[in-house]
Amino acid sequence: MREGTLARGFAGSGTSNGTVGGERTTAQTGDIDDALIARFLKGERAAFDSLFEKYQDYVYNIVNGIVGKSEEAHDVTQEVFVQVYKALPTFRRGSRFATWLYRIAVNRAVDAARASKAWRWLPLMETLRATPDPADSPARSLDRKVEQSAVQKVLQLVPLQHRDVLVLRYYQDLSIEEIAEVLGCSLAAAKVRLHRARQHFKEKYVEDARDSG
Amino acid sequence: MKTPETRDRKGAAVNRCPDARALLPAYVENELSGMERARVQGHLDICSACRTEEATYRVALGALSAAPKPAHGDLYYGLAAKLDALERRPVFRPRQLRWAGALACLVLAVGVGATVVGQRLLSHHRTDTPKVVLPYKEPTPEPLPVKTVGKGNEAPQSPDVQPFVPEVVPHVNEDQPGEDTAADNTYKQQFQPAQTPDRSHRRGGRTDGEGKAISEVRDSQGRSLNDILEEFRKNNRVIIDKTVSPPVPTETNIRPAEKVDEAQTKQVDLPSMPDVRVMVQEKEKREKDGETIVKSRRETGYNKHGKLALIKLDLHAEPAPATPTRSGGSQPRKTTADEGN
Repeated sequence: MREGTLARGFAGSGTSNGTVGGERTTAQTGDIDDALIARFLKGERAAFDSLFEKYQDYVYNIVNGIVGKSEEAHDVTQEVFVQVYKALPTFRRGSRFATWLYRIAVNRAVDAARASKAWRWLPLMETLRATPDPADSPARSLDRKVEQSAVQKVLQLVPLQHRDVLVLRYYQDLSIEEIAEVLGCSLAAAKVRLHRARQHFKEKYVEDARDSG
Repeated sequence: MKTPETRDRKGAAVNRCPDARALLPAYVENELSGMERARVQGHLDICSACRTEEATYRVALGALSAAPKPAHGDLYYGLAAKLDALERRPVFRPRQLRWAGALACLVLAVGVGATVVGQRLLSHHRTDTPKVVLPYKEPTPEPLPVKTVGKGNEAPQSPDVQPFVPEVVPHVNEDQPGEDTAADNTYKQQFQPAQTPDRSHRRGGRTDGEGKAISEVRDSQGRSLNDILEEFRKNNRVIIDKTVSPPVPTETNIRPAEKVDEAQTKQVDLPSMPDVRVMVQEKEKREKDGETIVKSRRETGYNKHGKLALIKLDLHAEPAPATPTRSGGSQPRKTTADEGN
């Protein structure tokens, strides 16, 4: 089975804890996070900055994938870390910090997406380059270079309750077990949600291709 | 249609298209077990529609996996200011919260306890606490007469005892007072409603407004209160003549009351309603030219228990009327009862 990002450990982007890149085990990652949290609770603000620097990309990817707007994702990401800043004293050391952080990010992003309720139409003429050829197979007609914005916009067409699963799976590379842990559901429920999310994304993707064609 | 070559090694049947398509997303992502993968592969080998569907899944999910992650600006720029604002505010740590919660509970408990103790102490020292006595009391039977014959050894003869039939005394309704029993007197004397003092004249215990005894008061049909009570005992109901309206207080039965500040209070008695006392209060306002202008007129009725029965308030700037109007606000009707009075 595919090993998720949480199990593989974060390489981190510009880690400030002195380690030199590479993958770390879950235990090592958890220890590092616990150490940073302990330092922060003692009053060391720099420890929180280290946590932020470590997880900001992951949180932003999750939020942006769900919300769909970079500007709003920027604000929501900051709100997530503000909430983490306030709630860190209540964080249980036994659980994984990343799971807890992702759960906050998903909830915040979903709330923001529901509050905005802004539908963004796909810029069909700007993003799609390929012209469907009747002689080609259906797979080749869909095999076109799709810009990141097109995928993002198709993702926004997926129902919100399925969008977060896709973001965790494809933007964060989480395993199905980790997804279940973040979403707070059973493994079977996570599998069902992921299956339905993939179906929805495929349907929207095909519709987008037909509309652009 | 099942053919020998479409069966897998273990001889299991090949999945149908719906079953195969349900597994396609996981098949594309290599999330199936070996057996499941083989079964799906076997179906794809013979079904072109499912092969097309599988290709569609590969393209869509592949694009999703390959999409570059969006770049973000300096996320920390605005966050630093927000965190600084948080740091300026006092942040309660869990330990502080625990102590604060414990202190709050202690203060609350002390306050509640002090309130309870204070109320109990006050209740012990209160002298005007009314003692409520039940108005109805089962009369105790008189002791049976016992005849003793002879002295000592002779067995006493059975007393000539009549079968005891307790006297049935129905419960007296407070609204239909009958002859006061000892229990009633005790009840009425001890139970003091929380009203203004000196209300003995309002409680129709003994007399009406004209000094008549309760038993002598008659209604429009000539029935006394005892008659009404007897009728109730027999029929369990009292027929009230609703066609007769209560008499209107006239000038003859208006007794001037003592002046209270600038208001003049008059007490009006209704012969047919001896238990109701109507207090009419008029506030006068005199103008510079000396003309009297009635500012307000208030009619308040109290029953025998001193409780508010009716109230009417009129605000007008007209001169005081010669005759007081009815509490209903309409012109009084002359009735046979009025003519009889």
